[in-house]
Amino acid sequence: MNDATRTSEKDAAQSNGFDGLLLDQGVIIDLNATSKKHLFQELARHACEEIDAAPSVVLGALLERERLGTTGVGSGVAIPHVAVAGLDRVRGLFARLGQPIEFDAPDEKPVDLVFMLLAPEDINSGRLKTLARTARALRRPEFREQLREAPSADAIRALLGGDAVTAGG
Amino acid sequence: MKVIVCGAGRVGYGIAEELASEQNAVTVIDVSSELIDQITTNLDVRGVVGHGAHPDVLDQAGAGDAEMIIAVTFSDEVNMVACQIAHSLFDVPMRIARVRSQNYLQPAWSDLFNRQNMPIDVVISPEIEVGRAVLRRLETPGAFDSLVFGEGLVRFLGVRVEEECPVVATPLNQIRELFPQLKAAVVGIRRDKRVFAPHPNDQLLAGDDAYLVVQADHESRALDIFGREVDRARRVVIVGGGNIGVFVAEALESARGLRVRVVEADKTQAELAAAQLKRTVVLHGDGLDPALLREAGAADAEVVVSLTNDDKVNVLAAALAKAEGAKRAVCLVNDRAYHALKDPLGIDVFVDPRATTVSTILQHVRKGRITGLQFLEDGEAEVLEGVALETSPLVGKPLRKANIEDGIYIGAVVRKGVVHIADDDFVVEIGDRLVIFAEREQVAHVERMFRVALEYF
Repeated sequence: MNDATRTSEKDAAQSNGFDGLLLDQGVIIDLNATSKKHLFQELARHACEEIDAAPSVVLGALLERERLGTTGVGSGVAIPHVAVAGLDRVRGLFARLGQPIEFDAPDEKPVDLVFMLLAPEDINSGRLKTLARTARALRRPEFREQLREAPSADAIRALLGGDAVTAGG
Repeated sequence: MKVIVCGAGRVGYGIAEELASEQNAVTVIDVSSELIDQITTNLDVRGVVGHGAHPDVLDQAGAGDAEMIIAVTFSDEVNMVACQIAHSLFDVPMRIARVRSQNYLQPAWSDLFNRQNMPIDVVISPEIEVGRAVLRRLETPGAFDSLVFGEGLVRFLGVRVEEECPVVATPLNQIRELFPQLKAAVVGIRRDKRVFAPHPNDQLLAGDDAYLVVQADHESRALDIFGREVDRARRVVIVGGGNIGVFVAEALESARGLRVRVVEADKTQAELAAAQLKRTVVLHGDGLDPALLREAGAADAEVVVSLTNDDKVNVLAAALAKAEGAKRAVCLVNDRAYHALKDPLGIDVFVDPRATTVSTILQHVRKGRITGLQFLEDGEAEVLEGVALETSPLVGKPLRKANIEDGIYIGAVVRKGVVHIADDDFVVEIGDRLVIFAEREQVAHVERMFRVALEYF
């Protein structure tokens, strides 16, 4: 990224383009999870407050997907993703963990940044594109650093390009 | 994976040992502090003393983080409740229970074990599984092992290679040229106590145990070539009239023209067996008494099966029966240390009950979509079936470019109901079912072969 595209923090945030993707309560910080399963339980519970799905179904799907192959991508990042019946578009939930957890990632590093994507069952929903875009954004070391150092959920939301940027945020 | 095992008895111990050896975080629960002491001393597992179905005990065992519970105590009811609690209170997504009583398993009540009712994903009945393993051995007498894969389209056979075998000392790739119509491949060889996946130019030697995958309806032709076609047994002697013995005898009663005799040492048990079996003669007496074995007809039996709950009795009864003249001896043995006695004593088949139970469980622990798995007798190799999913490293290129490591042999591939024998140029497609032979050390690599990439939704 060159300097011209980094004219302001807000522009930089918008370039990540996750507007509209994040759930209203789509950023959690200092989440304490003791295991992958515990993490998924928490994420499923949070997400299902806003979407019409049963937490146990989302949890089951996340764990099953993980058994087919890890969604840890390295550098402490995981992007768990599953299809959920009844969704009309891809929705996201970002969590920053208080303590990194074991994730069977390719670089064997524990994970502390988790971007969960819940997608419609329709393969034409653009879910693969969203997944690729998410992976690309989180591959940038400086972006991961910003996410790790952001002081609040709102600040992370601003970085991700959400719409809950408050004054001074 | 974090796994809770309820019950530290023989079955629980075997499961915990295998899971711990594959780097799973295992916690074992048992009411007996002695058994917990023993298992935590011998194995790399955590132990909790308590009742396996009590919520606080499960909590203490880490049910909140567990991805699997395996309830194998002696009580069916404890096992079922443990699974229910694990599901309802701790969201444990995979629940396996040992259920012995046939009453719960009758087809009429088949709605019992599902998510809405009693949330048990896999029911294991070690006695029945062992019984089935024994029956499989009787069904294909020319093979010492016989398993079904690929929705019934593929057989996995173990055969002893004899001197007169027509393909001895022939490179395996030439065997394929000699029998182009035969859909079969030698995927594993046991030689000098070592099991390995062969290379194309390896040869079979007399005295080898060869493991084959074969299209199911080519089985007898394959036995003709690699082993020997043997007539099905007509006279069977079973030593041990307990649960397993009665199960096997009962299944054999339904086959025509079979004569089955059961020998049972315990009087009460013998009477129970006699009451349950309609066409089978039950003799009360010691299976290690040659006179009684003779009376049971061991001398002219095609097969003697020893199924008591004592390994030593089973091994000796099998050896005695062979000495009396029985053609074949099949023997239930729990302790793997006894496997060394198989050849010296002339026993044809050892059935390891743990191998069957553990195989069922590992199928659900392994990464990827694994649809079948079976340990070979001594656990040094396994045969498994998995589905090639989109984005898996196997898909879309010839096998020789798929970085398949030594020690792994992709034998048969089932695609849309057709069996293919894979060679180096074979290209795996999405949805193919692969039947694979793998040496123990290569299991992690097999998992990686089936693993999907991030893009898999």
